[in-house]
Amino acid sequence: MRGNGLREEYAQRRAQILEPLATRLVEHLQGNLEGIGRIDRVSARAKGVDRFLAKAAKALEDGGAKYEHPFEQIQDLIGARIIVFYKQDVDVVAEMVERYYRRIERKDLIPESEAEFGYFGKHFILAVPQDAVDDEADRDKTPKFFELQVKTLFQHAWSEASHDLAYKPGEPLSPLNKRQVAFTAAQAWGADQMFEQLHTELNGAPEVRASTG
Amino acid sequence: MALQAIYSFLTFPKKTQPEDPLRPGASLPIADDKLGRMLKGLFESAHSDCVVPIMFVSDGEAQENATRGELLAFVHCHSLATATPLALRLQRATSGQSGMGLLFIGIGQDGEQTRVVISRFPADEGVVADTTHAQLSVQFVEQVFLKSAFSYKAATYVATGRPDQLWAGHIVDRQINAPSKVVADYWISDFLLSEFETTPAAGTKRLAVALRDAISSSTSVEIKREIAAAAQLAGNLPRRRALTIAGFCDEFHFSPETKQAVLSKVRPPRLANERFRFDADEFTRHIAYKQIELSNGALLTAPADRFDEVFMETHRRDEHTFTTTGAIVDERLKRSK
Repeated sequence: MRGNGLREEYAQRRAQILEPLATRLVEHLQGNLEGIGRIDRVSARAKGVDRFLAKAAKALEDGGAKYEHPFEQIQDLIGARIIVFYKQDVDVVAEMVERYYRRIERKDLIPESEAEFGYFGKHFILAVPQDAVDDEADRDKTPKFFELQVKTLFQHAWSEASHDLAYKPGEPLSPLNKRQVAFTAAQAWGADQMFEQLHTELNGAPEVRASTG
Repeated sequence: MALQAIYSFLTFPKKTQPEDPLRPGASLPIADDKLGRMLKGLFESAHSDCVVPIMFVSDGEAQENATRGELLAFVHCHSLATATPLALRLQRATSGQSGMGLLFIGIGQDGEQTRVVISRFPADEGVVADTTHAQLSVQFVEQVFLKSAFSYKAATYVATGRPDQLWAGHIVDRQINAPSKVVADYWISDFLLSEFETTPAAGTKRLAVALRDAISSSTSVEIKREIAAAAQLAGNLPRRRALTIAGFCDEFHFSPETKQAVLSKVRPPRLANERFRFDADEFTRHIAYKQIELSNGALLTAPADRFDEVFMETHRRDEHTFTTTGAIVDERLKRSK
């Protein structure tokens, strides 16, 4: 399915299945975060129609379609986020995720090279919990997985702003722009490092087990 | 539903000798004889026999699971060669405690989708009585495989042809609650590299919340008493015990009214029969305290698992007397109960 047919089908699924499911996933995540402090916000959104179509149209290097079955292959049709204060809190939330959800993927999103700067956080692909799927739901059209990102406030701020500024199709960044984006990432990284230390010194929080970039 | 091919292997307990080879398997003809009918019956009843949802686990970034990979290869092009890695995996996951087994891997159409059924019959010993020639002949045989044996296991997967297919399946495992974790886990965890779709914490929380909601919304003293007693004893359930919410109600001998009160609080209702492993710590997080209110306005609160130790209770007709002794460590004024 391509073109207008794909747009209409996705728009329909988005309104009837994905948006209500995103709302239930927020409630589900919030329920499992009860008692965990320093959660700034929990959100989930169904991927926008244009973004879905743009992703579905991506091609492989050989020119073939990257997603032959976009509804099943694109696993972030629903993307959820948990934003926390400090880096230690990312680990606490990640532990909650491991306890309550089945995952098929977990990564720390970090730049490929130590000489590069980008600042993203933790990423999971999780099975949609059965509690969030009504008995009456159309199971064939309900996604089996959703994406969850766990980020600090600074990781979130950097990735939102840099995504808005630095990923415009057909408008490559100049070398100066790239250095400026890298500088903001380094600033956000530095701020998190300082807050991590302060949180340890002033609140007695444990140090972060492994760097999240 | 049409069984198209079936492959069979004799697997030995080689968990401690994983390098030992697998004996050659066989592609079995699907004949209209007793064996063929049994195998067809096994295939056709798998969707109702295997009711416990499981999911392949994947650790890390690649979204890979070795058993799922072998299953995908088998579904893509089924043959004795593509069935063999699954049989070898079972042999390498089988300990001496589980012993020799006869493995069947069947594949066929289920509507527009492809169904795979993997089943294992344990080897047993038996006696064959033959009455041919008007004479009774009795023989001892060693390699008998009984479908009705206590440890019969099966798993079924439906391949949709979609890229996200075959992450989840359903199993039946009659040893799932065996006292030995090793026996109970080898089929799901060691062979299938899977876990119940519901995590222990998620399932236990669902149970605890249903009990808590049922007790707070019911006006029946009897229902409250039954639930409170069960909650108090639940901490003694064995670690990783596999259960369902409906099964929990039966295990603690809830009355039909109490069971209904609990099940009515499970959302969505189908999850009352979803299997999970009990997590005592998680249960305590959600049902930490038991509280009793008396008609004179008194509210008695204590940790749920020690309530009967903290308060000594005597009663005469409808009048209950609770006594307790301890040092005062805190006092509070509260706006509500």
